[in-house]
Amino acid sequence: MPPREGVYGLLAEFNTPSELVHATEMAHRAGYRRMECYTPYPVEEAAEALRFHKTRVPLMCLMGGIMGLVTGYGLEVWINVWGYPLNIRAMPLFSWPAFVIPGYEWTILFAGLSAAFGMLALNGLPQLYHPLFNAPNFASGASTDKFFLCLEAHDPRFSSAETRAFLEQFSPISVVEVDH
Amino acid sequence: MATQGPIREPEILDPMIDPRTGEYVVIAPGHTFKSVTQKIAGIVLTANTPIAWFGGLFLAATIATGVLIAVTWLFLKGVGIWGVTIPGAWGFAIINFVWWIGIGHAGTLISAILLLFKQQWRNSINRFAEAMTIFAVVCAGIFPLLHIGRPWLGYWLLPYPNTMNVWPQFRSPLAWDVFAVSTYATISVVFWYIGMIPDFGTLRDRAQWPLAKYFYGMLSLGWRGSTRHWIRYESASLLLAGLSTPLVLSVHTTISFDFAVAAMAGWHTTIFPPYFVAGAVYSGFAMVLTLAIPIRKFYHLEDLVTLRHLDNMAKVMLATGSIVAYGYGMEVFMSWYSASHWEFFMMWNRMFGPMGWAYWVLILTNIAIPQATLWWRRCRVSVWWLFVLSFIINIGMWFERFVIVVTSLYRDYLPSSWGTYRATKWDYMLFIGTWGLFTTLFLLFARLAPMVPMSEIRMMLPQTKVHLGGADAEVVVQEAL
Amino acid sequence: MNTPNETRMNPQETMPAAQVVTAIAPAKLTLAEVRAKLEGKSGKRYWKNLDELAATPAFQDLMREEFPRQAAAGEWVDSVSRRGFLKVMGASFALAGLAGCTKQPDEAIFPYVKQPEDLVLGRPMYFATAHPFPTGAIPVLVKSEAFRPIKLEGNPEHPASKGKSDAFTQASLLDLYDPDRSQHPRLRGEQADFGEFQQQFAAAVAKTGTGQGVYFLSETITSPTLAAQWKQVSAKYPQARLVQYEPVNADTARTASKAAFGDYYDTQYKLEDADVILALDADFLGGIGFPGFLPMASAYAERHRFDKDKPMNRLYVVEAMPTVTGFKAEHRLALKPSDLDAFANALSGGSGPALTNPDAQKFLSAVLDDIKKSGGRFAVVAGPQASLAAQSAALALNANSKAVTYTEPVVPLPSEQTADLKALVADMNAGKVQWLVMLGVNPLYNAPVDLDFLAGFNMVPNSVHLGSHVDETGFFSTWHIPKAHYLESWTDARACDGTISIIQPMIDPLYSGKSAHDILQALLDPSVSAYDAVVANAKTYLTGDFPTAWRKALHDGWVANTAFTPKTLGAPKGAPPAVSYPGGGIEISFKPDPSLYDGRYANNGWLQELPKQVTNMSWDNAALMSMELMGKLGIEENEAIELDLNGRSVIVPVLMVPGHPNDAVTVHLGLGRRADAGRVGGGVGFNAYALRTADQPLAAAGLTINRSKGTYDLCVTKVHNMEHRGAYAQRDLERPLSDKDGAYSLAGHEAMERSIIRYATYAEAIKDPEYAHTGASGTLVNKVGYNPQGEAVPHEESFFPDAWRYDHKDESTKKLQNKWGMSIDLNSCTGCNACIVGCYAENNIAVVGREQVKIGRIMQWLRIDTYFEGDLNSPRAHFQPMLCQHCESAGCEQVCPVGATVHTPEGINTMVYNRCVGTRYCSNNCPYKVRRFNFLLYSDYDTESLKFQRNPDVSVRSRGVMEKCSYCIQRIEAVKIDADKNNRAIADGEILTACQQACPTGAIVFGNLNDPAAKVTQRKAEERDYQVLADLNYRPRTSYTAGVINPNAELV
Repeated sequence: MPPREGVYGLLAEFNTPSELVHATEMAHRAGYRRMECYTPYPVEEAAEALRFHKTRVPLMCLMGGIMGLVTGYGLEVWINVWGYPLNIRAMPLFSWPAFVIPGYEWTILFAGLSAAFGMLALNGLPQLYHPLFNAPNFASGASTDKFFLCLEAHDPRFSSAETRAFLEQFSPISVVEVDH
Repeated sequence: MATQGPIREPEILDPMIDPRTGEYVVIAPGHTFKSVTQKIAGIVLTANTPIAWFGGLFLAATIATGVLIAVTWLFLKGVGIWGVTIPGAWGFAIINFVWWIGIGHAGTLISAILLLFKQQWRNSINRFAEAMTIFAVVCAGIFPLLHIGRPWLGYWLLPYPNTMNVWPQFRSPLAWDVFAVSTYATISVVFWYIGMIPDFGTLRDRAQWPLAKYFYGMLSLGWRGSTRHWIRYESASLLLAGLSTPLVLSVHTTISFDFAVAAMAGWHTTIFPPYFVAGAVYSGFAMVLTLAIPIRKFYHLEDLVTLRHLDNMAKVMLATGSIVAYGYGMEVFMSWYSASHWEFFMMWNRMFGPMGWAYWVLILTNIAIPQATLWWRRCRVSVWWLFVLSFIINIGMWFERFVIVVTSLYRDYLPSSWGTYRATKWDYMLFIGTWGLFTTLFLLFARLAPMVPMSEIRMMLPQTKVHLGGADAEVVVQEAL
Repeated sequence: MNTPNETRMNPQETMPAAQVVTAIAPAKLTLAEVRAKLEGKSGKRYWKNLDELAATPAFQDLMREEFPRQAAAGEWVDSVSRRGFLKVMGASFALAGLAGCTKQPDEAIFPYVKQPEDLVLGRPMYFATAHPFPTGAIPVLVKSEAFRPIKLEGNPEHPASKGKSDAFTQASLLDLYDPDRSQHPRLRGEQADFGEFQQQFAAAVAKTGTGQGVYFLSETITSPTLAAQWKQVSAKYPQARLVQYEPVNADTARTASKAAFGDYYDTQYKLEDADVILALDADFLGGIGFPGFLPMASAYAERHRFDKDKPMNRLYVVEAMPTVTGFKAEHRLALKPSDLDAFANALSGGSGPALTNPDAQKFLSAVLDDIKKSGGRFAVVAGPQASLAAQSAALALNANSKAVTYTEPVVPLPSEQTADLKALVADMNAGKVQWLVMLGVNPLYNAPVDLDFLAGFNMVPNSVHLGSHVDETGFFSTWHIPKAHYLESWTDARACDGTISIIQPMIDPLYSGKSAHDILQALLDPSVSAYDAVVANAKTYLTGDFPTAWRKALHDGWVANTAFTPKTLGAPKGAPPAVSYPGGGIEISFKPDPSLYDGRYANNGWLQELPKQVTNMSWDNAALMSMELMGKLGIEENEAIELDLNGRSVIVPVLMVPGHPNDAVTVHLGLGRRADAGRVGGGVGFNAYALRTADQPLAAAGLTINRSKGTYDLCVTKVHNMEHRGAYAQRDLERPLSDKDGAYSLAGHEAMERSIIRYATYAEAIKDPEYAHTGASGTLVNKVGYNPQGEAVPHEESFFPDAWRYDHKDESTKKLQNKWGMSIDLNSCTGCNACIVGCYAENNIAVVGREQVKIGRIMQWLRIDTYFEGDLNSPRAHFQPMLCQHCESAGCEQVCPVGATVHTPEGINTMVYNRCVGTRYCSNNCPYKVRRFNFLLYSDYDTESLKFQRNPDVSVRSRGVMEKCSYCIQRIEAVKIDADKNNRAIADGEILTACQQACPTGAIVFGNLNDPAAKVTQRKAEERDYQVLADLNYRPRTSYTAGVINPNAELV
């Protein structure tokens, strides 16, 4: 798609998580929806304020696990009973206990990979460019010790003047406009 | 629980001691988000690398070349250059394999199980514990491939469709190993990398040098600390932890099956899975100590990796060590209680046969010395003793595998084919070479990646506390309206 | 391709093997020249040139000068690198002649337009011939694959051998392909031409007129034809002399029989008629070193087989060095040589030193009683190298034996060889000898040291050496003529019973070797070939129409009615004076090596590696002595000691031998060869001939032993594990050990405790035929293994009793499938090792070399476990052939991750070499430890001649692959295919495994367990049948028949 033009949003910078959460809560109550917090470590309260609760990562993990189990165990059974039947130590072709471990391992393998890559997919990562990186203070702070709230431009309630005013009242260190 | 008597005067004055509990604190007071970040990121991003690091790397790399030489000669000649023979067709290769894998387990344990148990103190050490896991698995992974007679056909152990229509034989524990170890390696790497993504973000943002910026930028996948990302991230890590926990148990269980499934007296025993896992964790924590103690000294991380960590790790070793001791006891007991001539002879031969010395070395280093000291808190918080002990225990754990592999094989059922086992210079060269390899990898890691997870350390700081002034929240809203 | 001048430089390459010797010896190379030749070459070109160079004899000579040790394959510090050298230098070592086979010549060559009608590639042909040996020829059938002899078997038609064979005969095949064989005649070391020799020799001898000064020194002549030729020669040149000498000879027997009966006679023992056998220093179960080994061994085994209804024979053995015969005996008395003589004297009531030793007296009276009781059904057997006293005692007692007869000697020209050799050396020193023609002997190596043969030899102007190798003697001789192997040449010989076999060549001489016939014929009519000579002589004994008879003789491999007629000679008229043992003190006895005999097999890898009987030593010999003597001298095993016998001394490692008499040392002859022996035999062991004198060639007294510096790690495949198991650790033993000083073999004791070995006395066996499962004096079955009673788990108690069944019926024919199994009778096995060598030849088993054997990597699929029961000073030993047991529930299969070892529908545990990746897990999980692993590249892929020997039906295993006994699957399949083609059932006994076929005593039986009539099925049905380690429930298909001994109550 063509590069988007104009303002991405307004970025407010805070010193403490408390201020961030407070501002976020307020913004939500004020009707802002298209917004996001950026913190150097996970802040559950911020998520609360954003009303962001459930993630689909566990489901993907479960699916992966089931897939792994079926693949692994199925493979073994097929190989030993149909694909390559052999008289090994006068044991039955379907020696089910012997097949448990590989099936088990593949369950975990598939589940783990789905969890990890599922998470990245849902997060839209890798995404090496993001408008926020244009904000000079974001880079220096967001991954260290500063807490950011970004109200995005395509929120219906967004208007750069009012929104800026709205953010100013929480006495942030700064409120900067972020361009695409 | 482990405090012995009243805490003595000098310790109360020690700022590293929490006056309420009398325990050492997990993280030194007075740290801020910025200070921890600077401290940890500084190690990686500093422009002037300490000379000692280069020295260490050179030394380690030199030793690591032993692997190359030994492997080259091995490929030219065949496994005959080793001490393996009939009986005793397995030797150093398998011993070292089990030993290294075992060492790896502590990393997973710390990063996974302790995470599930919400053991906050793990945060400072889990990153390099995981790194240790991966490098240990790398060293371990060398052996199974090399020890087979025709290494160039090693891929035949994998189930892949081929024109010959032949497949692996899934009743063999070695086939199970392939699945267990490969899964273990994969999941560990993924878990490790996922854990580092936010920290790579930090490094990207703090790096001055454009190349470093680019490098870490790539690794961080564009991480920007978005809260929604954080939530999914947290749940993914939790899931991975949840998966790694049964995984780590299953891996060493599977490896113990390599022996337990065979019909050799001394191998054919049901106690192996638990006691292999315990042994693995035992040696793993010893290795963590071996690494943690010099690192915290060298990079001045004493206030992030505190005596509390050392104390706790010592306690874990005490626990797992006791399980291992119980395992040995059980073996001896069963060899008598089973009233089986095979078992009885095996145990007698293991203790008093020509290689009996190995058994007693094992008892001394794995049980006698640790049990005699670790019960006392003073020993558990004595840095130099723990350092020494960590080596003793790893020697002991190596001998455990030696005793299991060699002494069970060299005098088995048919007396006519009794033999002995003597390792050759090539066995030693490869083994010692892997130490070099391990150290090399670890030094590179210490230089290029954050050894301590910054985001998780930040979470442990008091500043993280969020207090919502509910009242003035209302006020603000009204003003807004 | 190579340029003309290079072709000229190495003619060998362009010529087929048979013509190599006609090539002109190229000038010697120097390193500088080699460099010059490679000058300016690089990359592929460089290596190519190097290869071409390497193939030239000049380069080989260069190699020998530059790297003498390696060129002779002397031991390197580390066998790995040594083998590596052999591989790298492979081309230069490979015989120049056969190197030609590796590439096509540059000249135009033409393929078969029509291949010979009798040759069907892949279908072997069998020819009858015989293996000539001084104690009597061994008739053999040669399996010939595309005209290459690849396997020798006994000739089943032959009355004496009945299809059995022995270790030497089996191994003599490898001698044919020995890459170190001499390849062309040499005149003073330079390549020469045989024709040239014939002319020179004939001319020179003719010049003497009477043959004055012409001496022949020959190995024992076994060929009637050769004897006839000699008669012609001596008729033409009456002054020419013939001396036969072999270091291991039958002099004492000859002397004794001459003194007793006035002429030379061979003693023939019919052991089937003997209830009591007394062997005086006679190893008649050990190998063909004993005349008549094959018939005697099978007769002994037949009479020793347990059967309620027929009496069992009883064997007494009196000997110094323990032999397999001694350990098969019910009662064995270990006496040092002088005491043995005393015993013999007392036995025959002859004069001489009195018998002092009380045990010996007890033994003596018991034996004499038994002999009396037997009513003539006894035999006193004296070995060919037994002392004079023993010989005459045997002759005296056998006078009234029904089981002993006499015949004229098997060898046509019997003589007392040592005496003759003395005379010869005297003449040499006196300068009477102008021409010394040595036929297949190596006196510079093995002549009695006190004769100082070399000194005399140096005074002989013309010496001729006919030998298979340029050995110690050939190297110094004026002329050296390569000797043809018996599979390459025409001759004839008599079997132990006198039956004549015509020896026909199987293959054109690889190196245009010559036989003794050709040498003698040079003095008569050179145009007469060996073949003509044999035919001419055959006319004297072949009856009826000659062409028919000749054809029949060649076809059958023997000539009917040529056996000697046995005579009974009654009591001996006199006895030779017994030799005394001056000096007293420690005595030393010289014995032929159990594997290498007098050293003639030194370069034979199969025999070098073969663990020697009793000692299980491989690639080595040692000063063998008793534990007690070692204690007295304060020396340990492997320690180097100096044996000093009247002024001459050698440095030797020490090895303890269970049951060796005290104050005596035994050394084996035949090792310590110089590099000339070849890549295998060179520099192995020490040379015991250096102590052996002409007056005391068998035993001597006055030996002094001094400690020497250092130790020498002997290569022994089975150790005794003598560390003592403390009393508290014996609680689980059914038979706790009485002695506390550990003078017993832990391994041996464990073998009894684990009921691996089971036996009973005749009385016990009669009383309780089930003894193998209920217990007896020699059978402990109450030990607790994984299963109470240590016995097989009841079928239904297995986890998956019937997951795989072996009783399928063919829908169409309603015929029950095959189910292969094996049974081994421990009563019959004498531990003679024939089976092992047979297995070597059949299954292309690699020879791994001393260093590898020492660390336990011997590749034999079949081994003979020797267990010593009780005190090692006077133990009872048990032999147990151990090979893959083909378990139905095989642990090896379960643990293989790639399914490289699996079960066939017929129940054979097969090893799939090309699937094996070499985890070696299978070996770990094999309680019988019968799997063998190619830790290195053991199979020789470079030496051309060895490729000729390989069995094309068995793959040659490469590095990193596990291998093991396959029940000779290739033989099974061959018979199955043939049966299918002819739409017939497979008869019992039609399939013979290599070991079974070789076994002289029929201890091994193989067959179809689904055939109730099969011998193997009946064997397994016997009460005495048991499985080793049955309690592990591996369900082995191979089972053993417990032994029965028949001891004399007075001596128990």
